[in-house]
Amino acid sequence: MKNLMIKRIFASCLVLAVSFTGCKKALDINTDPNNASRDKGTPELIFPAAVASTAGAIGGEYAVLGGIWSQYWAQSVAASQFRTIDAYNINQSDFNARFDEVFAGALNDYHFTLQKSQETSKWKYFLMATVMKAYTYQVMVDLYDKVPYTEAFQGQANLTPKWDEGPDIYNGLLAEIDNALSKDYQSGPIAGTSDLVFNGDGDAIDKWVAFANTLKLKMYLRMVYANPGVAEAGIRKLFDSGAPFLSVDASLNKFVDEANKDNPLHEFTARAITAQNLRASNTFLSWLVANGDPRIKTYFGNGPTYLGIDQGDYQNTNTALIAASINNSKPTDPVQFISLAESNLLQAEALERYYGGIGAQAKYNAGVTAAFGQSGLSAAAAPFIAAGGKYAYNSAGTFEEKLEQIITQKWASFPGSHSLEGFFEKNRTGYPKTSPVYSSAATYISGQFVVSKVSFLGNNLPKRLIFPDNERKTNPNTPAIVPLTQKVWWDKKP
Amino acid sequence: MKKLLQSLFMLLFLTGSVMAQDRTITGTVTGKDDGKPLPGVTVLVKGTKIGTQTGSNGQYSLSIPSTAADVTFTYLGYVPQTITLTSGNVVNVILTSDAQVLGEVVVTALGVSRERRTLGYAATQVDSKEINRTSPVSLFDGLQGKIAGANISSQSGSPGASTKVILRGYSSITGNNQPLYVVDGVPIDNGSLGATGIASANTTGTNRSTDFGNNANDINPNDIESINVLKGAGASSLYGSRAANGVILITTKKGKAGKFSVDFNTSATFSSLLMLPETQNEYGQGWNGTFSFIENGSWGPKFTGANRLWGNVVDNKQLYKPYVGLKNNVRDFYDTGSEYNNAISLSGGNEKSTFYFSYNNVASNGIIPSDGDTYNRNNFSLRASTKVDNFTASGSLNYFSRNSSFVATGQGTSTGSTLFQELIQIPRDISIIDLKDYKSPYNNLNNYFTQYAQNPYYIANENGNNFNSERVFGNVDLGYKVNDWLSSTVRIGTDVTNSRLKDWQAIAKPDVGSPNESNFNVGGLTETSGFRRELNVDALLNFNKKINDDFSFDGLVGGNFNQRDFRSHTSAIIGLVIPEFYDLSNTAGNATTATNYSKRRLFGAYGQANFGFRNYLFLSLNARNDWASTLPTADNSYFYPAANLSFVLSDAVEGLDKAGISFAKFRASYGLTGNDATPYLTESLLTSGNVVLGFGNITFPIGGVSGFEVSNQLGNGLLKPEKTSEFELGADVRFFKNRLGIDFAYYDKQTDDQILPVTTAATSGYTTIITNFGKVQNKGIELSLTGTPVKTQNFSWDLTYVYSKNRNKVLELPLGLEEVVINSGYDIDFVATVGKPLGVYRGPVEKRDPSGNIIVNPSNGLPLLADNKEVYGDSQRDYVMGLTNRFAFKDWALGFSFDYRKGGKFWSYTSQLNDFVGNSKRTLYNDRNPYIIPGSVNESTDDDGNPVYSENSTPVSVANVATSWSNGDNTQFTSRRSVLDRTSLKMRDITLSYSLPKLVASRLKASNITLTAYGRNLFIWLPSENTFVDPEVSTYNNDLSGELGEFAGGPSTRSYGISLKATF
Repeated sequence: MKNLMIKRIFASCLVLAVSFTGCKKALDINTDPNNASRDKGTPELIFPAAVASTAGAIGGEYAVLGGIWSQYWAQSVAASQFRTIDAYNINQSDFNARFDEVFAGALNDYHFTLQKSQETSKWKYFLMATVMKAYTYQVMVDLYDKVPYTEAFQGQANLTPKWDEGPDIYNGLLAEIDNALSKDYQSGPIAGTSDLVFNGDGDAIDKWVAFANTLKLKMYLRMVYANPGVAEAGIRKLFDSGAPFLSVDASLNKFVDEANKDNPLHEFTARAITAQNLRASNTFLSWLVANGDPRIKTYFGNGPTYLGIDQGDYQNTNTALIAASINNSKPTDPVQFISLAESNLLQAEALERYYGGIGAQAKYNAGVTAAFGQSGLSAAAAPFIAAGGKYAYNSAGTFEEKLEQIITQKWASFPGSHSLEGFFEKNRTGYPKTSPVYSSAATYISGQFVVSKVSFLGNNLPKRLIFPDNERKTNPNTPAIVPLTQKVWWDKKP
Repeated sequence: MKKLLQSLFMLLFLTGSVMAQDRTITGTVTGKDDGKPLPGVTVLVKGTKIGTQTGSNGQYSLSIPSTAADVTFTYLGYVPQTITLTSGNVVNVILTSDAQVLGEVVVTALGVSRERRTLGYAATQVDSKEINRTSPVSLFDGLQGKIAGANISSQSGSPGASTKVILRGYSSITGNNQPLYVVDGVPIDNGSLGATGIASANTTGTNRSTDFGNNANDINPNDIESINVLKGAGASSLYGSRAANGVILITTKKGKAGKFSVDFNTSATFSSLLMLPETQNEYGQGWNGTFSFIENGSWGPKFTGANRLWGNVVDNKQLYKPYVGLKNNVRDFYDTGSEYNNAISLSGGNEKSTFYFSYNNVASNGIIPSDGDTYNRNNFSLRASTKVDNFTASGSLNYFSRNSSFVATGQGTSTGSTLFQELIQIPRDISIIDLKDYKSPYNNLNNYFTQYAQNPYYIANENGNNFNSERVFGNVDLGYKVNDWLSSTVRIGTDVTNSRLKDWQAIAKPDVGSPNESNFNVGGLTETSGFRRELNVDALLNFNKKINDDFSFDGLVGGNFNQRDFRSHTSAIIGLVIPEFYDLSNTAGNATTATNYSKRRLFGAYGQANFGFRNYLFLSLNARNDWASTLPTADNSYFYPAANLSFVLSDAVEGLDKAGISFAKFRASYGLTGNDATPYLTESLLTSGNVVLGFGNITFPIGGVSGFEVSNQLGNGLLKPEKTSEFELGADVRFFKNRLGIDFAYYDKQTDDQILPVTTAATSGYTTIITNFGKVQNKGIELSLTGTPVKTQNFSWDLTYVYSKNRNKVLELPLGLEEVVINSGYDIDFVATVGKPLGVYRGPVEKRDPSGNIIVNPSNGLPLLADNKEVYGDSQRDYVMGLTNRFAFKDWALGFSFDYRKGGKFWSYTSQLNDFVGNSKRTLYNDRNPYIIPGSVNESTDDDGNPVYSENSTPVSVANVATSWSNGDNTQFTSRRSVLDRTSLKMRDITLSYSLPKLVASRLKASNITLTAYGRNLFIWLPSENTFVDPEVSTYNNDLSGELGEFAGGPSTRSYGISLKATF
């Protein structure tokens, strides 16, 4: 009996011993079968998702903000989703998720793409990711004035990156673009379809070079009143070296009419929220009507009649306003990063500023034509820009008159996923002008900006966004809240 | 164990000298509870050592000297009885069991039965009778407010809804706070499958969601013999890294040797609303003070009583009705719910083998006027055991099937609206039941009176879901007794659930040109199939050695293997093509699909040693080491020791009973438990490209191109398990022959190295980072008082009072972080902050000048928004208590219980929405006349740019009164008001039962027939500021983040019913 028991105990111990050596192996099963390991990430895989993040944030909810603050759209009287934007009553947490999407979604993925493409000398991707990163960053700086840059994307190594000043970030980005342009990007295989912007075919990399140059031009023009010397030197260098600028749209144009696969502004404001919040603002609508601009159909549907809402007048109890013209976004609209129209109009401004306006008119005309072209109406542009036409270039005018014309045409080209740019350019140049009276007044001049009827900023227009709450509560380095009325660093036009 | 003690007693009593025997007495000893004969009762002539034991039929025969006067009958677990002999030679005795005396045996970790007196920690055991008093569908439904230190809530009133059980407070900041459920020694799965469609999934968590209940609720409550709640680490540490939140040990009923027995239980329960938001009844449809027949709110003019037209014009016709408030328009929407619960069990056995078979059927339909809230369940269980020589084998096989539909709560999406959200928005003058014919011209999608909401009947009837699960759970227990002090056990259990869910939303597209054209839903379908499996093996060696009369020693060593597999597959479409046809092919786009696999393994080795000294001092030591697959392979071994001490003063010192103390025990314990990581947190990953837009998403592939993102969550290759250490002191003292009992416990537990997906600054590149950091403390006291104020032959009154108070505190957070966001609802964050209890509400507030005056917008008189959010309060309760009374008079019994939960806050979207649409009572403020916010000021700047403040003279106009209650426009005012006092007092149950007299019952061949009328949750009392919703309702999950509150949750219910229980 005793012997038997000892044997049994011994046997049990043996079983235990054997099973424990097996344990090590049996426990090594913690590899996620649902998601690939980060080590498997390549520029080809990550870059497209980053581009979509940029497009989804800047062309989505930020574009709603841009579109209302650029006075293309007003909040519907029959819904309430964007009242706070129309009233300049921005809440700390309103743009939390978008800010997170841009930094953790887009910019961190560009950061990863840059690291990987540098390690593997994929210089095409290095240039592509640099340009998209710079584009995305520049928009964030323009919105928030300052954001983390030098200490960003370090993960665990730095959970609380410091915030950098806008001009420093601009300089850093311009240097990054120059660095990427100095690499051997012509070598190596083409990017193929993972280049969502230019389709990655044979000459796509040349378009990326043009995108890089145009972005630099845009950034220099942005700082033209803040750092005029730097701006002029930079722009002259571009033009004098014959740098090519964009001759096509730099856009994401792969959307289809399907849930989760369509244009982000459309998905957000027309598909996922079915109530139609974005209605024609009288500011923009009156300008289109006054000029008989055919793009009214693109922007606000086929009519035949159009009805606008004065900016911020969403509490108006006139039930007729329920039927105000709806923002006519389409599921397949592209998200423009820099459009051909914008490229031409940026060049026109630069030529006026530094080259005595030589060639400016041609660029202006090309810009307006391209802007009409976005609506499939390029042919219709001709009578507008012909001498005596509504939008004919005022070559004889003063610089300011010409600038107003250029910027106003740019403004008219931005509604949709590109609409933040209208807001930035208004703040930089002051155009379109701000009306001394509300848009319902008899003396109102069509197309002039008005202060929202329900403004929370008194008689002021918003100039920026406030720092997002998510960042404030996780990063003690986030600066104290700055009111919406405070101008960003480049907003210095006398 | 019980047997062993009995033998010890026998030894003590049966040895002795032989005396002259003069007469023989005989008789039968039976138990009072079931009237069954008791074998092994010691019969002893008082003052001598003459005695015997009853046989298996409960009979005895004893020769006694003629001088013998008294005979005592003693039996472990029963109150001893002394009979004074008369001339008769037949002495029949009925012994009363005493759950409180030394013999009470409770089930402890790993299914080991131990005497309660030896335990150095709090263990609350509830028996079948208590669990099934009101014929509940889920095992914990009848226990709210009855277990000190256990916070039990039902997520909604619906049968089968999730139950939340939190023992001694929340300790894991973002992890799992649910206890481990163990049935007959085998851990079971307590997961749940919600219904959030992946394609419409939105990270805010407020979107459409449906609660299909947690898996522990599958168990048939009639099958439960007892539930033992191990609250502290001292009690649960043998479960190592799964025990940090306590353990619920469920012991099921088994067959008993003896007669074949049939138990039958049938009940019918009906339910109705417990409470609805209280509404104003003075103002009707409209906005900004003016009537508008399309509005979804009551911001119109005051009721006039005059007839007037309302609703959309259809075929040049418009409805008309008197303009009056309808007090019960929402109440009338609801039906009476029904619930039928039938259970039968057959059991029996002989000395070698036993069997038990049971079947339970639950069929219920809730209070929504459709079949969209039904719950049907079938349970079959078979258990058997047999014994051959030294070998014992037992096993159980359970099959559960569940078929249910629940009403979705939360925010509607583009695919479909949600019911409760739409109900809340109906103006006070509109009769809801008259909207019932949702296809009629005035009520249909085209012409329903408002374009801002949908006809609730359309949603109730056209949107729906069906959840179906089948589950097999069973175990095999093999035992071998090596010798009289050593035995071995191998226990293998598995729990497999297959489930499928179909969740659909109808196309709700008004015709183009119709008044409601702009409000449409595209319809959608989500199908999910899920598989969960848990496999558990324990191998144990038990030993039990009495060293000498003073010392005893027993214990065990063993090993454990546990594996948990999970697999789900979800496909969804957004936008249907053919109406009312729900198949994944029915879409113009593509179905989105996602799979999720997870597997984890755990090895454990453990041992326990219990030392006893003179049966009044007990020391127990145990330890476990775990190796977990979810931790980094290089460092995945963790050690969990525990010790506890029990001292029974009343046995160590004689004569306490003379001072009225019948029993006194003091206990102390310390234990360490853990909470290992969930799978796959140790590495950083790529995720499929998905851009969250605010509403809607962009998901890859796009245009045939795939894209992957670096996951926004950074993994951690140095992960450690979360550890909870707990120290506990307690006392169990009974007075006056056990008529009054006090059980007291004090505990202090600390949870360290929490595994947190910490929200981080996105500018670090990641929005969450997995870290081990953060310390949370829970300290508290638990008190339970049991008393029998009155006890006579025919009448008794028993009462139980439980009180617990838990103080929760966050001691540390990851470096650099001031707070960790647990959950958010609209602008309100639910956060963990150092020095505060888990779950602080923080939200927007009005901007104020340095002297505290509200700064308003000079153009409309409404407050400006302050730059920083402020703390509104936290969700922690001050204390909770429960009181249960039971009266018995002859064959009648009456019982009722109250559950009072004091303090804490919760967020209510129901309140926010009622305010927004002007239906809540408080929107009558100032009778909706213009007013200037008291003490408000305007802000301007002086020439030096410094702010200056002047008295505000701009009133909030009539047109802005509604705006002032809108969370979109005036979050600084409304957000704070939607965080309400969580206090509640509920009458949990009332029961009145009548047992047929034994004689009558026996004529029906039954040993017991009881008829019970009962009510559950009949009344609720709430603080005056909460006129909106039962704070027990949550539309989120049943863990800490669900404590945030509710998003348009349904009303909770009261129910009443009758049951018949019979035993044959």
